[in-house]
Amino acid sequence: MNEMANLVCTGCGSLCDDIQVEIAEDRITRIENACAKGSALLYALDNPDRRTTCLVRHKEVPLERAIEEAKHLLSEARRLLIFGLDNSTLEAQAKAIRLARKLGAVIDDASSFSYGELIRGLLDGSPRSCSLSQIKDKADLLMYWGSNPLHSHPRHLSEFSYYSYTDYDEAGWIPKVKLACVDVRETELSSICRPAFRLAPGGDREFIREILSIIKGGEGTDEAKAFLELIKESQVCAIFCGKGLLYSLNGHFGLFNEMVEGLGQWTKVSVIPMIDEINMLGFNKSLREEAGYVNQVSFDGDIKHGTEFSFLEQVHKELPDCVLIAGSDPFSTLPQSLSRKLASAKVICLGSIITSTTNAAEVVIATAAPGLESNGKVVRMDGEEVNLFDVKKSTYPSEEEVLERFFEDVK
Amino acid sequence: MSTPLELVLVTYHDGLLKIAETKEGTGSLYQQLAAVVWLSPDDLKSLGVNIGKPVELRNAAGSVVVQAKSDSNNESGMGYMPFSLYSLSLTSYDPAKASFPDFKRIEVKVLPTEQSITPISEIQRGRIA
Repeated sequence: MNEMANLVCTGCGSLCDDIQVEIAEDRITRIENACAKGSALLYALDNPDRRTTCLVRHKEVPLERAIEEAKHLLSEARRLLIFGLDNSTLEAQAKAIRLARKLGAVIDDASSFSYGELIRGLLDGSPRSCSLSQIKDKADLLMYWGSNPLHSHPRHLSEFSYYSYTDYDEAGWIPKVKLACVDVRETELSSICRPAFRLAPGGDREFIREILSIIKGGEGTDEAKAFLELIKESQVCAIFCGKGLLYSLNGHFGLFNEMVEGLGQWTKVSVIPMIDEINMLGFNKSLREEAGYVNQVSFDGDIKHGTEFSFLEQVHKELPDCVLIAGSDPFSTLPQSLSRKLASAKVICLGSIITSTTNAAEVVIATAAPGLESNGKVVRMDGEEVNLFDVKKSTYPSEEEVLERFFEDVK
Repeated sequence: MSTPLELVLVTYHDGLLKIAETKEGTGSLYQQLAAVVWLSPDDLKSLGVNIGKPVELRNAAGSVVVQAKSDSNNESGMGYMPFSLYSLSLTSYDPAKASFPDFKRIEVKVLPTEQSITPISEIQRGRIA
């Protein structure tokens, strides 16, 4: 039997660090501890049919030819947009930000149409967050709001929350912590939650208003009262915010933050965003350190920030003539109308496996997969820095190396 | 000819669909898992559609034909659909109305159809055309 190597799974934002892989003759032959999502990614990264190759206008080319073509497009670009990097390492993100500054580009990530506002608040300390390790065995109420981790983060419950608790009830199988959820539909998670609050789609804002009304001494629905009773029984509560909540609030967390502050009179509340990507928080932190803003930044002249520099607005108005994408697959996540507009720009994509974005891009540069074939650091959903290690050789450079070459060579 | 039913579609993250996409890309398994809509038994009845039969979902953003499935937990007037290239064909972005696209909550009309499920290849072509 070959030796097992330890790695951090990059299959979702949980970044489970107990994954063991056996590698024989440079191929993965066995994976232990990973969930179906994580092992699917690891096997895909090891599958020649799923790995992307370097392409120029859909024709396979040597790496150097793809890099030269990308450098040519970057140097010709008049309105460059750099997008993504949420699944890139901190080191690659730093290179991309430096490149954006040098070339006067706009830079943004998917947080500008997802968790950006919440993350900005968390980085400022309001609402308060905590590390996932601080939750285990300490929080007495775990609340998933608009999230079904059994699908989005399959091991979140077993690694960091409900099933990770070491203290069980007398029967010996129910963890000594309350598990609750707020969602618009019955899910695998809601079936094990006591209680599960069910809202009408888009009803989160109204539910929060009801809770706030009761907090301020007014009236509220029975559901909102039951929610507050649950909070009052708790001393330490973790709220995991999912995309259901995020999109119901249209990304605006002001009211939610006000509610969390109000709940603080009864319990210590920590908020953790259920980010799918492995390093969205890292990008937001890095860009804020560099430019003062978590996303939507233009380096054209002075540093500028605003929704006009969001990826969605840039694509909607067809502003960029060249788009450099790394660590992201926007062609799989944009509405069709925006996807078509994005396709009209010259797209350069850095990636490891075949995606809708590598299929659409004018230039594809195949890169080593972070956490399997390249090293680096990422920032988990709870703000903890996690080290990724390479356990396998790659014939392709890391994103960081490619971005460094762009920085050195593109004027 | 049935009258189209007005529905609010709610999208959700389907882990199996994500796994299929990672393993095989956007191929036949992806299509099988993504091209579905879960409706209430009452809505299926009023549409005159049997479980597993195709329905057309249509709005100003586009239209797709997907397989109708029944979920007794669904309220009438609501449909649930995995977030995928299919739901994105119906998703609009109007910054004058909202800062985000309506990824999660999409208003559509649903009607029975004799057409086949929209092939994923057609959807992919439409996304870059």
